[in-house]
Formats: sequence, structure tokens, C-alpha cells
Amino acid sequence: MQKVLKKKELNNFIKELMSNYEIIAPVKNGKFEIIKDPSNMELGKITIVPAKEFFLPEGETLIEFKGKKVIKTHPENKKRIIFGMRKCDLNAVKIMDSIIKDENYLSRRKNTILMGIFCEHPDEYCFCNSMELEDYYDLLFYPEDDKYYISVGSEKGKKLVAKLPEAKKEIIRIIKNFKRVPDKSIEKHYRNKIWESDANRCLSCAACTINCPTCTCFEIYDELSPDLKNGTRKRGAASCQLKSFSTVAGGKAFRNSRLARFKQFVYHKIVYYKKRNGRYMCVGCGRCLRACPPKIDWTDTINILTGMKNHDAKRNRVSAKKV
Amino acid sequence: MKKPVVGVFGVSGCAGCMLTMLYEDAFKQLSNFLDLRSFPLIKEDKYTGDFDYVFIEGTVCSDEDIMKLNEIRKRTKKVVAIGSCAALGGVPSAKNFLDQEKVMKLVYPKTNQLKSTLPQPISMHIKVDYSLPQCPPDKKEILEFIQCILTGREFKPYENPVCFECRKKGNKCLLDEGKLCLGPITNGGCNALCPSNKTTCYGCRGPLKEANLKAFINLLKEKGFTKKELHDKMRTFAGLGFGELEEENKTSRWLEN
Repeated sequence: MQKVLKKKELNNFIKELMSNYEIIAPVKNGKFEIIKDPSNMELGKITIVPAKEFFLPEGETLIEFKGKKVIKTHPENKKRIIFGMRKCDLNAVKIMDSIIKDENYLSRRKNTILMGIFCEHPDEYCFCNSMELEDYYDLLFYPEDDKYYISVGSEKGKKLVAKLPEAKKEIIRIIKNFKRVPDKSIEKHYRNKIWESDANRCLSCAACTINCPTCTCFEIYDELSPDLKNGTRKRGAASCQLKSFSTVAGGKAFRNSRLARFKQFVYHKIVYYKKRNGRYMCVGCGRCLRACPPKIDWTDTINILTGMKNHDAKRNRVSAKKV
Repeated sequence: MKKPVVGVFGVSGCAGCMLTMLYEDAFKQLSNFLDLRSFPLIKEDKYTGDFDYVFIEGTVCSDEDIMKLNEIRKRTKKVVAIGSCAALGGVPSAKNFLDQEKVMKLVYPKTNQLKSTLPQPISMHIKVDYSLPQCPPDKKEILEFIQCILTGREFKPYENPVCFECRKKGNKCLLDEGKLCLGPITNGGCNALCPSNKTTCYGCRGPLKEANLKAFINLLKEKGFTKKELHDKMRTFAGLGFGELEEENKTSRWLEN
């Protein structure tokens, strides 16, 4: 049974939660941030930067070493609520759950409650309906007229809305996307020349992977104190779009070409992960497309490859020379 | 362990790199582990022996500079070019792309005593073992380099674009905002200092080896920037380096309309 909350009471509802939880919500600059005042929330638009930094903070300390002594550091154990996550963001957390098993992540994940909101205004980059998303949330808010109808997805979520009245009707809505990727069978098209036209436009700036809510690759590095006695071991994001990512000792880079790196991104999301885990690693949030400076649209490329979109003249010329 | 003998020298430059080293507390702490024999901002240079490491800042702008460099090179095992000037040519190297006579008259209208050569990075004249570009140089990188010397690790230069660090900080892309930012073709390691403060990247750490210059130029053309605008930006700090990148990629053809 759904719960009901009047829209004008949302800020008070959030404020009450603040006494026990740190509240993280989308704010005006297109990011998720820890908020102190609920009126700073900006729920209308999808954020540019995903919420993954609250599970995998950039440059987090894993261990400290003092002389020869190694000290394991523990992540902050704050109880958190992330509010305003959309279906794509919520599914991204599910995918991260399946990939990352380290203590710091699990501890943060355990202390975080996911309070989602129905996505009323997907933009021209969104294609979540094409990625077979599931329901995954503690609470999900469906806006309808002047009320929110709240679906409960877990015991943790249930406790938060225990005081709210029950709804007389049930509101379940489906997200409307303009963009679609109906057929994703691209495995056989790996060597198609059409990928080159995308890779040739790629700047290898890594904006796509950094802004992807399911990209979790990382690198580990040490920082020494100036007296050379103490130090910290840290973890930061890495990106498969950079040559340094696949460079090993001796200087050999396994993904030397931009083309191989670009295809790795797409094929990992659509093909490789699906083979192993039975679902797509892409959640269709479109953040990679939105963040890309030359606006390379690989979903378009997939649609061309699978015959879901008519080739335009220029592209036709490229793909005609198949290997 | 014997302390490595270190010297700091400057050819034509603003001494900003030395100041950066001098004002860093961590450097003072680290210098306890170094045998610092020459540092013009600290003490007079009377040492005549050999060095293990020599940090050199500044651009080569005169024959005296070249003589000085050759003399230093003979006395040291390793040379470290510090700052954009020594490593890449820096701001003075913009003169390479201008009319020499005109520049001379503009800067020194009343004298013809000065004889300046074409400004060049020090690597054009002596062998350089390590480069730590950036204007002013990154304190953290200098410290990391010295730590590498002291702990016997090989220093690994940063080889990712500025954009990588910029995006990691969650910045909005300046190119998307219609500004000409050299981030995608510039070597990072500065922690995206300028774009984080809403200033476009001027490429002071030099061109990225892996840069996709063709795609970058196409993007700029789409956005309506001109060849001159791109060159003005490229030639602020590392015109010579970006020039080489352009030559490698044969960009002159794409730049014309």
C-alpha cells in the first residue's frame, strides 16, 4: 500500500529526517550534495554528475602507514539518505552492489537509504526504458497533482514513512523516453567500420566514464608525508578511455588505439556485463552523452548497426567499407 | 645514505618557480634530506663542485643563457626542467611566432644593445632528464619528485588530459559553455586548477601526447572558433610544443575553413 505526502509538506518531511540522517539531494548546479536546507533541492532535472561519489569518494584513504605500522582506516559511518535519485540512479546502485565488494563500499551502502523520485521530465539524452531497469529502492515518490504517492520497497523505507497516511488509490507511472535503443545485439558488429567514425571524434577526455553512474574502475596510489616516515594509500577513479589505464610496466598499452578504448566502453556496458550478469550495465541515464564535449552518440550508432535507424549519407559511406 | 647534492638555477625567467619551491613548507622539511648547494634566492653561489640533481627554471633567450646551461650540464648527473619556461618555452616562446624586429622595437624602443636569441626550452640546448612543467609549477609534483629521488623510485610523469581531473572534480565543461578551453589536448597533473576556477585551460603543462587534435579542431570549428583564436591560446605557454603536435597531426589543412 502506498503512502501519501502533500507536496508542500515535503520540505518539512525532509527536515524531520535531518535530525537522524545526513540528507543528500540534487541541487541547482547539477550535482548531488549534502543539504542543510530542503529548499535548496532541485528535483526537476536529472543531475549531470551521478551520486556515486557518496559510495566511492574520489581519493578516499584506504590505509595509513606510520613507519612500518599499517593502520586500516574505516569510512565515516554516518547514516545517510539520498533523496531525488531517479530510476536510472537507483539501478546504478544495484549494479555497483553487484560489482564492488570492498569493506568501505559495503559499509557506506549499508548506512545509506535510497529515496527515489519518479522521473517526470526525461530529456533528449535519456533512454532508460531501453535498458530493462528494475524496481530498486527503499522509497519511491510518485508526484501526482499536489501530492506524492510513496511506494515502499524495504523495511528500512517503511520505518521512515510509518507516520504518513495510507493512500486511497495507487499511482504507478511509466517514464516516457524519446530516445530508444530497441535492439542491442551488437556483438557481431565489433569489427564494423562505423565505430571508427565515433572514435575519430572522441577526445579521450574520460567525461563519459567519470559521469557514468556504473563506472567504478579505480586506481590506487600512495602519498608520502614530507618527513618520508608516514603515508596514506588512496583510491581514485580511473578511466578505460585513457591510454594510461591499460599501460603496464615496461610501457606496453593493451588498448593502444582510441577505437579499442571507445568500443570497450560501449561493449562492456551492453555486451560483456550482460553475458556475465544477465542484465545491462548501462542504465540509460544518458550522462555519457550529455557530458561528451563533441556529443558522440553511441546509442545512435547501435541503432544504425541493428537497422533501427536509417543510415544517413555520410555514415553510409563509412560503413560501406566493411572489413 | 649520502644526501643527494642539489642545485637550483635559473636562466631568463621570473624566478617564480624558485619562489614556489621556497614558499612551500614541505619543501623546507624535505630539504633536510638534501644537500642543497646552490639556490640563488637563499644564498650566493660559491659552490664549484658537482651536483646529483639540478633544477633549472626559465627560457633560453640569450647566448649567455646557453653558456650557463652548458656549464651546468657538465657539473650534474641529472637535469630537471622546472616550470613551463624551461620545459616548454613558456610565455617568452610566443616570440617565435611573431616578427622579431617588431617585437624588439615594441619592447625596447630606445635601445639596440640587447641581443636576444629565439626563446626556446632548455631541452633544445642540453639533455633534460625530467620535466615538471606548469606555470607556476605544481608544489605537490615538486615534492613528489623529490620524494622519488629520496626513496629511489622512478618518477612517473602524469599523462592524462586536464579534462580527466576536471571531470573528477565535478566541474561543468567550459567547452559546453562556449569557451575555448585547451583541456582535452593538454597534459594534466595540475588538478584542473584553472577550469575549477572557471578560467579556461591555456595549456601551460604542454600538449598531451595522446591528444586527438583533429577531433578537437573539428569541435572548435563546429563551435565557431577561428584558427587565430586557437593559436593565440596555444601559444600562450607552450606554442612550440603545440606546434610540434600540429605538425605531427598535419592540422594546417583542417584549420583552413
